[in-house]
Amino acid sequence: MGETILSVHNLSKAFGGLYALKNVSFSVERGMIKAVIGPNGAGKTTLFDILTGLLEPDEGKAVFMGQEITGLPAHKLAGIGISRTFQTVRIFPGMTVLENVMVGLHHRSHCGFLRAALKVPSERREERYIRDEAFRQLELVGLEMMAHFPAGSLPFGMQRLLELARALATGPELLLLDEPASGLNTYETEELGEILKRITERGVTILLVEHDMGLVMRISNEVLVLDYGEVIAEGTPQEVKDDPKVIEAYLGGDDV
Amino acid sequence: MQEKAFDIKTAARRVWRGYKAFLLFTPFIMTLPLWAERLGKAISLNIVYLMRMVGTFTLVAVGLNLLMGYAGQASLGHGAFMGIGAYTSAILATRWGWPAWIGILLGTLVAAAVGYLVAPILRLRGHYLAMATLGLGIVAYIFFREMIALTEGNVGIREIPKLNFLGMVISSRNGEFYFVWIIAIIVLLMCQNLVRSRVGRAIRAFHQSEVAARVMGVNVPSYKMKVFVLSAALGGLAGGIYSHFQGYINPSQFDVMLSIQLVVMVVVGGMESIWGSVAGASLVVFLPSVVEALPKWLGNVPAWVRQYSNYEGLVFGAILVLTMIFLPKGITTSTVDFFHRKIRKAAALMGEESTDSPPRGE
Amino acid sequence: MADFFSNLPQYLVNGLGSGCIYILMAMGFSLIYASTGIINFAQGEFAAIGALVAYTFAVKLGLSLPLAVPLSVALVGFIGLVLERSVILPLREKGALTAIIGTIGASIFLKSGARIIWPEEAYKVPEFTQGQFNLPKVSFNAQLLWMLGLTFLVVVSVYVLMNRTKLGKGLRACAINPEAASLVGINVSVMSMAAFSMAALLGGLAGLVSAPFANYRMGLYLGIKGFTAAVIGGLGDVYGAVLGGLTVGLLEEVVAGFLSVALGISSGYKDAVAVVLLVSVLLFRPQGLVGRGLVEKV
Repeated sequence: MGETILSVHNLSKAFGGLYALKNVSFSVERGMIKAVIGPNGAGKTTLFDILTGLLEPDEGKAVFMGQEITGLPAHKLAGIGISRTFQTVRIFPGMTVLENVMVGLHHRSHCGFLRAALKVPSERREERYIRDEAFRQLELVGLEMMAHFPAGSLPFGMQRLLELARALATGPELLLLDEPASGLNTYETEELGEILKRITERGVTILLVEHDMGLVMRISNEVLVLDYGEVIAEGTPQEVKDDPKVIEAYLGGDDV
Repeated sequence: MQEKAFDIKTAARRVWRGYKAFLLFTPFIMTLPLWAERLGKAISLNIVYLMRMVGTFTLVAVGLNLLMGYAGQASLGHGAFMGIGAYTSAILATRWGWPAWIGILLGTLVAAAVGYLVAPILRLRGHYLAMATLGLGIVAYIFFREMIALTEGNVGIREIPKLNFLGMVISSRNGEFYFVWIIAIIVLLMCQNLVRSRVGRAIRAFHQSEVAARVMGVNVPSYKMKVFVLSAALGGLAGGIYSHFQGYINPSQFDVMLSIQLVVMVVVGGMESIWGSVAGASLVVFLPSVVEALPKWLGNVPAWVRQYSNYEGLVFGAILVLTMIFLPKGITTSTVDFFHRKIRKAAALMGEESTDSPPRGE
Repeated sequence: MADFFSNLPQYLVNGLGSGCIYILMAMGFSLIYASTGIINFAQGEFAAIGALVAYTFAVKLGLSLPLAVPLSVALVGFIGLVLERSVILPLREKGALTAIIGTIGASIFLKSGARIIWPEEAYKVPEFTQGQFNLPKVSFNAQLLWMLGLTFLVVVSVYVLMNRTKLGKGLRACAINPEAASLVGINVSVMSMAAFSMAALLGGLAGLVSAPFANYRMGLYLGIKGFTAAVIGGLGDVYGAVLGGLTVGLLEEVVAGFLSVALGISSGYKDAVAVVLLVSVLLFRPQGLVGRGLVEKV
């Protein structure tokens, strides 16, 4: 595969003396789907929060496309190509489906207060671009029919897809997906797998936290296993599946 | 491309679709003085006079709605910005004889500048922001009262000259009415453009989920600050105009009760609604006069109705609480939502395809 | 400057007195915040009504003070209960902005109600015992001793209540985690009711011991200063309120004294001192000066 898009060096983060992440290092290559798995409380969401600027690590750093990203504010990271979805869906429920995705194009557009208030021609052009682009993302996840419905009125599975479309609208190089299949039924999960494959075909790299092992095994190229904030295994899905440490971590916990 | 060709029909349709409310409201308001005089006499309400006040308060209410309704940041001290605008313009006009329109403009800028200076309190959330803004409103009131050398203290500033614009004195009731409503309609139009734009989406987004908005690239602190400054400026603008309408200002006109009334306008009129601000301002301005006119309509009313001004606060308090309990989005937004739901239900019955996956909670 | 220092003891004594009032107010804020997560913007109104009701009972109806005081405080406690049932209960779980506006509405309602019943600018609330003490550099009323004593008594009783009774344990459990509290069988709704009534009791008491004069408007300043005290002590920390109340009371008197005597600035700015303090603490030390409060959402 080649080029490394994200490399994480000795990342540590503690909350009140308890390590959520301890000395975590790994790297992700461009164009692959890498899954991060581990029992509940293994530090997966903390990892994502650090990579998207919502938390600052105590130690260590993350480098994305040659630029150190730890310590940058969250809103800057969208601009350099990282986007994410959330474990508990965080759409904007009071806005329409289309508007939700249009927010994803925020950093790819520039009109400020004055131009917006005066609705100058350049603003109108930009709005049209944002709208068309947002529609394209909705088509990709199959939600274009729902464009004008309030996002909060969508069924749960569609809200997950909407969040995905919104994240894609930022035009990410790297997409962090936090349990995208949780709460989906089998059919929806399968569809999600297809969508994720289509996304990687466009050159987007995916880092994925997921509990659905079927999905992880089916779509990921590499798997990283965290337990109590530490990396306990890394490799292809098959290698990881046979790793005794992984089996023990999963059977030892209450989350199989 | 077909779109490039200018087609008057589609252009007109687009304008109609985007600005329906304005196309209906503007003629209504511009012709209002023609028929309201007579109607007003019939129902014992000075409609033009009251609507002039509605226009003034619409300016500050729409600004506060951007801040509270759209951006979700409570301010219980917005009366202070009106006060700053009012005092700036009144002092410039009475001390140095500056023309009113320059005073109003400067009052707007001073209010915006003060807004910018206190904007760091936007780091606070929820209850804390509310209490801090309430406190700053009190501080502003104390300054109006105590900076006697500048503000004349409790005595207030008298004989503030009437409006004049480019040498034209605007002193008739109708003149003032048109002055304020032309400004108000322009401001409403700009605010509607704003909330329907990229900026408006960003603001509504961080209100609904700050974390998600940040991850989408919205610089939340910067937007909060800008909305706050904008709403402060609109407060200053309204205050400046107000002082020239009234001709007399004193600190108690800009105390906490004013700030609360502004909140009533936004909350009861409708959060996240540009026209809700107009509705809210109308309600707050008209209510006392309507109650006052009741005896003339109905002949005999119970004595307590006549003493309305004594228990006005009682009514506003009850309205606030009841609105929060029964119509948390305010009158306008709740009504619009109600009809949207009806329309959608009708559309569903007309045979829209139902979706495959059943709803599973939120 | 010399004037300021020779007045200092008097400022401190005055500050001690108002500090007691702020302690009682702050404990009310903290109790409600701890058990419901709400900041009660009507807290100040409890104080105003407490004082005005005491006036009616003691002066208008001529009840003896030992009867009028408990009656007034109990009545305000009852108002707190009614407020909780009618406003807070329907608004629970509806978000901070809704709760803020709801309690603001209640506050305006109570204030205007008070204005209808007690429209005058000042009502003389009787002091518990007459008399003045004149020491070399300070003088104070006998009422100050009552304030100190009552505040001490209240702090001790709240301590006992919170730590030794089932009700107190329930309140504290709600403060730490309402969901978990309801899972172990604590009736969160009852706790919210209890917190509001107790806060109203405290507020009513604060108002009635506070000033020789009362009016319907006094609640606003008592409210915001009491809140400042609560924030300084760490909002949600019932005992931090003691420290917070004294800080606000003393600082307010000393700063106002300094401004007027040493700098010749109007003492009308006195009421702004607490607000400036409030905003600075919220911005720079939101967890309070003692740092034991529950606030981390600031």
